[in-house]
Amino acid sequence: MKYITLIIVTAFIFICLFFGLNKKDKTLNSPLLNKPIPEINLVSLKNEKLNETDFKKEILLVNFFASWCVPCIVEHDFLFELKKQKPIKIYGINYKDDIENLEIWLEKLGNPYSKIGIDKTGITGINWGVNGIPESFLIDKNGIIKHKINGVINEKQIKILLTKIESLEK
Amino acid sequence: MTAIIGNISLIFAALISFYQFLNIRNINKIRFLNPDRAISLQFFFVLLSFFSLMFAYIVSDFSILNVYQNSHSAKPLLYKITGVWGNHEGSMLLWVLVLVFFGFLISKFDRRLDMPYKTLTLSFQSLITFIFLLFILLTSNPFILISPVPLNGQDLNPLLQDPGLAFHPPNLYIGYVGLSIIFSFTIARFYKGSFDSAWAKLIKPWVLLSWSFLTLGISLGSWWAYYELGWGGFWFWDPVENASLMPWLCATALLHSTLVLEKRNALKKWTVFLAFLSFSFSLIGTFLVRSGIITSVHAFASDPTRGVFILMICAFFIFSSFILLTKKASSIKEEKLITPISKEGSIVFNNLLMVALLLTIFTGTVYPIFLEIFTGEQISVGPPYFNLTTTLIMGPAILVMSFAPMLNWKKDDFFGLLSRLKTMLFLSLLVAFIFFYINSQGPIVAVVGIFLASWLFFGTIINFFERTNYLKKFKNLNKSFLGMTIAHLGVAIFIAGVTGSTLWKVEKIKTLKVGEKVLLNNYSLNFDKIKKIRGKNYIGHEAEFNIYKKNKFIKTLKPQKRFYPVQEFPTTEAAIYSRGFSDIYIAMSEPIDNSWLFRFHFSPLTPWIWIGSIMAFIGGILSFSNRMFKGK
Repeated sequence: MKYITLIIVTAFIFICLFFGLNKKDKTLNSPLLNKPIPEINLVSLKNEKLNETDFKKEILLVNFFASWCVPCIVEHDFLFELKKQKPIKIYGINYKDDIENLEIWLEKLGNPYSKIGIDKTGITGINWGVNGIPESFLIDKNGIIKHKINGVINEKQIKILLTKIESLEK
Repeated sequence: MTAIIGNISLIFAALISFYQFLNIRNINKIRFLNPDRAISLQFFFVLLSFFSLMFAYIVSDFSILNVYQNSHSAKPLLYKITGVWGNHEGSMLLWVLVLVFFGFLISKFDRRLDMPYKTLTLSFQSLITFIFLLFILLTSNPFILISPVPLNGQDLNPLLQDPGLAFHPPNLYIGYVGLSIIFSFTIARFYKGSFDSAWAKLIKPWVLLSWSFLTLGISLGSWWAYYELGWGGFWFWDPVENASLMPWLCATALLHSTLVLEKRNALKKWTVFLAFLSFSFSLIGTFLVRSGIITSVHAFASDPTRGVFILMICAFFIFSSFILLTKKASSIKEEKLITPISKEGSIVFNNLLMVALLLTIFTGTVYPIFLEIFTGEQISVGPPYFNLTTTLIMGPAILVMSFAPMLNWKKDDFFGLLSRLKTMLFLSLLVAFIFFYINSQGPIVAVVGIFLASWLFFGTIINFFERTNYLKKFKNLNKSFLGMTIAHLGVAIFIAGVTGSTLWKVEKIKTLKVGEKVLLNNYSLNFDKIKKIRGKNYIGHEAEFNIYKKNKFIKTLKPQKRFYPVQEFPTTEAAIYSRGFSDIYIAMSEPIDNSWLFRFHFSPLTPWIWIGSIMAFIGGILSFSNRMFKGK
């Protein structure tokens, strides 16, 4: 009897693993997907306000980054690449960073961002459910989160982004 | 040409292994292809195929897709060679190579086995080989060609361009895959002979060998992560780390239950169950790593058909062994009951704890997968869960482990035991108190950790002195006993290392300019120089730190930050100064203008983690060689 139980439990585990293997979308789905953007109330690098109203005008990409984040350097070139292929606004949220370092960083690598919000305390990061940077969100013109990218935006991610943007424009 | 040789060898090996399995019923007839010859041929062909791939890597033959994807002509020779198993296809080939190597070892060197049993075991081993060769040929063939031939390759992931890759996977695989031979031994025993102490004697050295190499492989991997990933930790509860820890726990339980079966002819079904479970977890581990079902540093680009194939392999072996156990369980006769206060009682106790820990870790590892299937939610079960549960389960296990070797078989005296523990208790409390005195700010759990470590240490030492009659009988000492002593001492040292490293670590993250310094636990680390470096396939920076203690110069450390242009990938080469009792660890990050970001660690007792693991490995090997070559 106990062996039968063992076999049943094992079979259950296997069935689950099988379904796990066939998950369609392997990217992390944020619970924020298809919901309005969470609270945001920041001061930008140029001392302007950056809040919800800024997000309800056009399709944009919100990119959480920091000068201390090594993968962000790798990602940086791809942000320019994305802008080259599709003129889209990118808002940067500078996460738990030192402003001085950030300015040097931007000077050295260039600035692909239309606006940079300074999230010194990381509160915005928490509100947006950021696990680790870089993380990026694609937002439609109504301020609804349509897509989330965990980690570096690379060539492959750019392709996905372009198709998503295209479908949003229709 | 290389690809053709590699491919044909694989096909030959597959055909021979299938033939050997089919002839399972005709084992007594000596034929043209007798079992020993067949297994040697399998080994020869897989080795030939493996060397073909290695050759293709060495000469940078980019007409082979696998070489193109994972190598580059500018890569140093060592990494061209190790790159062979730095990718999915090549590492599966290594897997099979170890698989046939074990069959070969048994056929050639294990003189203790009688012919029919050996033949039967080798037949089952050949079945495993056949199925995995099929997997390679159908889904993960490393010899696929591309045309037109690219001019250069895409290079290997820079994290893998490290001597660690030369040692970690092969050793780990010897351990992992070595469990397959235990599985074959067990299945074969259902058809020939019975599960008795003679059988336990037969499999014990092989369990010891697999266990030792699993220990070595895991600790090498952890050491590699410690200095290469630049995070400063030794264990991250990454699903792939868990995948290797689970078979290890199982093998540890099996090692001890085999001992009970050998000495007392008891725990038969349990030992058989553990033998199956160990191989099952080695397969499940392979599945978790290879299928890409979970994301981790180790997961290679995956293709769903592979995952399904490995899952089917897992299901096939696990179900057939469980069904076999169900059908034949009644034929295994358990005669003896086990009393709690006895050596076997304590082993059973620790066996149960090991399996409990195994299930806890398994749950933590697959829970996110299950949750996602049922709710679509995605979570990650991180270190908080694993650290807590592991500590709670391992605590009692260590308490018992200390005095278990002192106990008598069959039955021991409870009060007699208590009186023997007095000295140990006194000494360990003393050590714990001294540590508390030195570092009273640390968390109280750390003191408990040190207490447990010394409890185990003194228990093992005292037992050793008593058994050798205070070293008078040292000359005719049983090597297996010596091996056990060394391994248990290793565990004690390991626990102290883990305690110090996780609970007393001091971490500082600072941006420094050349000429500035940082103070870390009585040490002054002076950032004196930075220079550009250029390797064969990378560029980067090297910082120079001179370390002083009370104005006395101690050592220069040179952490590096490298960038590999072909893969567009930066790596951190941490610099570590190991002082026996602690490590000073420096990892550097990207430059920001003239300043550089550094991460400094002062980790007390951290080197002990690896000293302890190596001791456990040596103990296991000592015991193995004693049983294999001198024992009956």
